[in-house]
Amino acid sequence: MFKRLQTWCRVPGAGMTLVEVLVGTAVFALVFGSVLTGITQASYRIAWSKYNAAATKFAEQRMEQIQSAPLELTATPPIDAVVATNFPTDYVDMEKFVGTTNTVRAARTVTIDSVPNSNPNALKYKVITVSVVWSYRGRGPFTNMLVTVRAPDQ
Amino acid sequence: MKRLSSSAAYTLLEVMITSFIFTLIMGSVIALNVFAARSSQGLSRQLEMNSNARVLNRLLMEIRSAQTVSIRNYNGSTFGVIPPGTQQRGNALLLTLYDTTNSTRQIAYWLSNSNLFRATINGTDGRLWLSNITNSYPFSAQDYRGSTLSNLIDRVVVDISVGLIVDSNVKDYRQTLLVRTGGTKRN
Repeated sequence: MFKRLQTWCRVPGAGMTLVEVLVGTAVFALVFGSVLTGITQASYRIAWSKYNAAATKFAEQRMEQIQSAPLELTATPPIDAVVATNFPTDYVDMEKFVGTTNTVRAARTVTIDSVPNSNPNALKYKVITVSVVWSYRGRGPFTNMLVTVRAPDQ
Repeated sequence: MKRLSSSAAYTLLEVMITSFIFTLIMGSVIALNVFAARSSQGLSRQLEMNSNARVLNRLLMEIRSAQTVSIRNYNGSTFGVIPPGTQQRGNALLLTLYDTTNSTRQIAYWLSNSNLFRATINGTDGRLWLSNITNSYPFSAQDYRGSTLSNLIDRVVVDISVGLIVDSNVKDYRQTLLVRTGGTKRN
């Protein structure tokens, strides 16, 4: 082994050249950097997944509120509380970091559309869309969206 | 650098440079290990939070299928009724459901010592549901606009707000994940 090493070296007993040292350092930095990037990416992705779950829950809350709003079109006079003005845009800080002012804030918006139908006697369905928009570490915006169709109360 | 002979020892400069490089590499490796260990601990907590947010799905499903819902205050032994006329916000939730044999059963969720528990009344399935909750009153009865009710109405939205401690290491920083959701009984 030692003999082979001696043969490999240009001059017996000589040290490594600057290029060899630089190449060795570059390879080390590359491996080290890759491992570090892997860890930070995993951390980011898991945190993202956590906010994603919280944002979905936030959207579900609004959807439940809309589902419980009265929509009795056959009543006299008709009652229709399923309108976007009853559900204005609101915000929630999904995460707070104690000791800093950093937050991960989500904005929740609602759009409500009527399904067009030429038959005047048909049920008036409404398409409800709840969107929760948030960003994390300068990336995004990400949108969690729930869509449902609601019929009038019978 | 010219050596005096083939058997000459290392010079002081060579030893110093070698030591410096060795220290640099070892320092990097140790720092990476420490960072990886701390990250691993943090990731475990974050993953736990992720599953905690999903744990609420069962609670929401039971609210939707409940015959009655009632916000209560648990004092360690009893589920106290919140009097009509006062805001229906409390640390416990009682649900009445029909099971597959068409008989009713009551399920209770309650907060005690920052932990949320779930159990069937007179049952043996009591268990810890969520831990490390920061707020005292996670349950409230609301109308569709999100206003807390003083009296229960038919189409009540049970609002659930829980703050979950993600990292309790105060030397570093502490994160609290806020999960807000709600369920309306369908019956």
